[in-house]
Amino acid sequence: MFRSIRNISIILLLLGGGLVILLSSSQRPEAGPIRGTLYAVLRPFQEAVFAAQFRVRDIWHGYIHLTEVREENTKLTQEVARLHQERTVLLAKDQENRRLRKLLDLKGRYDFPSVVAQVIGEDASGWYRTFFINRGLDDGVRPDMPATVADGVVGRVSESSASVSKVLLITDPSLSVDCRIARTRDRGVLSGSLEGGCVLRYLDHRSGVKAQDEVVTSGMDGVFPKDIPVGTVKQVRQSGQGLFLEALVDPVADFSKVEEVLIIVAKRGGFDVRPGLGADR
Amino acid sequence: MRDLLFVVAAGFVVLILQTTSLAFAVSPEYKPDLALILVVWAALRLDFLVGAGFAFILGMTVDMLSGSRLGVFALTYCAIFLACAHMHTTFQVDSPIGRVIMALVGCLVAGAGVAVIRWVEGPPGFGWNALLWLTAKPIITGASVLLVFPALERLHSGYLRVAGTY
Repeated sequence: MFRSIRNISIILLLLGGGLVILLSSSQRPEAGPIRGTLYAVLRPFQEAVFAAQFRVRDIWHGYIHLTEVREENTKLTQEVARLHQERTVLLAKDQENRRLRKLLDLKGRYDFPSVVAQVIGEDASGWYRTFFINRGLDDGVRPDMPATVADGVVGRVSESSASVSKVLLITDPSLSVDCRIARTRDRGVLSGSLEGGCVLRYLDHRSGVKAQDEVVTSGMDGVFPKDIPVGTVKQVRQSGQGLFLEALVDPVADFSKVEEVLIIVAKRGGFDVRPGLGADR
Repeated sequence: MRDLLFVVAAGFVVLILQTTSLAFAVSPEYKPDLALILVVWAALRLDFLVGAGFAFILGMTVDMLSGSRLGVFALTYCAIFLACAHMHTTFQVDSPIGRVIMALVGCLVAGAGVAVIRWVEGPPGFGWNALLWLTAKPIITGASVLLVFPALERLHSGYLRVAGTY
């Protein structure tokens, strides 16, 4: 009996106390001293737990993200490789485009019927200076036709099959081209030299040829049209017999970089050497 | 017959390499003469008749794929084959150094032959560069023997294992 009265009175006391506190509490925004102390005590713990919680969450997310990032990284690496490859192909196409545009300019400039051919192989032995192109008799390419690039003369077709032709380069001693010094109009015979480059022989002693003079085709050999650049004079010297001058000539064409050539398709009788007149007109 | 097939296939590969990709590694002037190395290999490993015929045909093909007159390399390779086969049968020359020397001398002979023909045809403009060319190419070819010969031996033995099962 006594026990139940005590319990009821405790409950009533707590409820009454709670009501008193509730009804007597002010609506002030500032915390009182007790609440302030409580906050001050709790704050470091709260901060620590909260920070730890964030850290754990970051680590967890980081782990999950890392897996995703790894996958993304693999995809991006593949993408970069693909783009790099595409870029290389596009650059190669761009360069090819520039070269072909130059050849087309050349085609328009010389006003001779011509065929663009691709270089597909080089001399098998290495003792001679020749290369092979992917055009032959079927395309109208025949022996003795001139091969040029945008810079100037490359060589002459020496053999042709139905679909492949062999081009003898001007740096081979077997090929001779009738040339002139562009400035003085002196004539000479240019052929390849084992010393490297070409030699322009049989130049007149009175010729004022000097280094850096430009050498062009004369058009007198019936093979090469007139005034196509061939090279630049590097050095002038007396010939072995002393009767003539001879000039060492640096070819204008860089043979290691030639990928396409323009074959000037001429009649077998040779060119009409007057500039601007096509052979097949 | 089996050897002939092998050597014809090898010759085909060598010619493709010689006319296309070899110049990517070495300047065209100094690229090693792989066809000549194949001829030396044939002289040491193949039946005389098969080897001699092969050397001639390979030389003729090289003639067609270069600026030389038809027959220059056919005769040169045949002569080199005969000399190497003779050295092999008489003095049993088959050491790595011996092979290198055979290829080096063979290449020197080929180069000298080409130079003589050029000299007969017209003024080729000999000079230091030509001398360098005539000496450097044989040295590079000779050194290449150390790589090409073992590769050929391996390919040949592999081929014989496969061909032998049929």
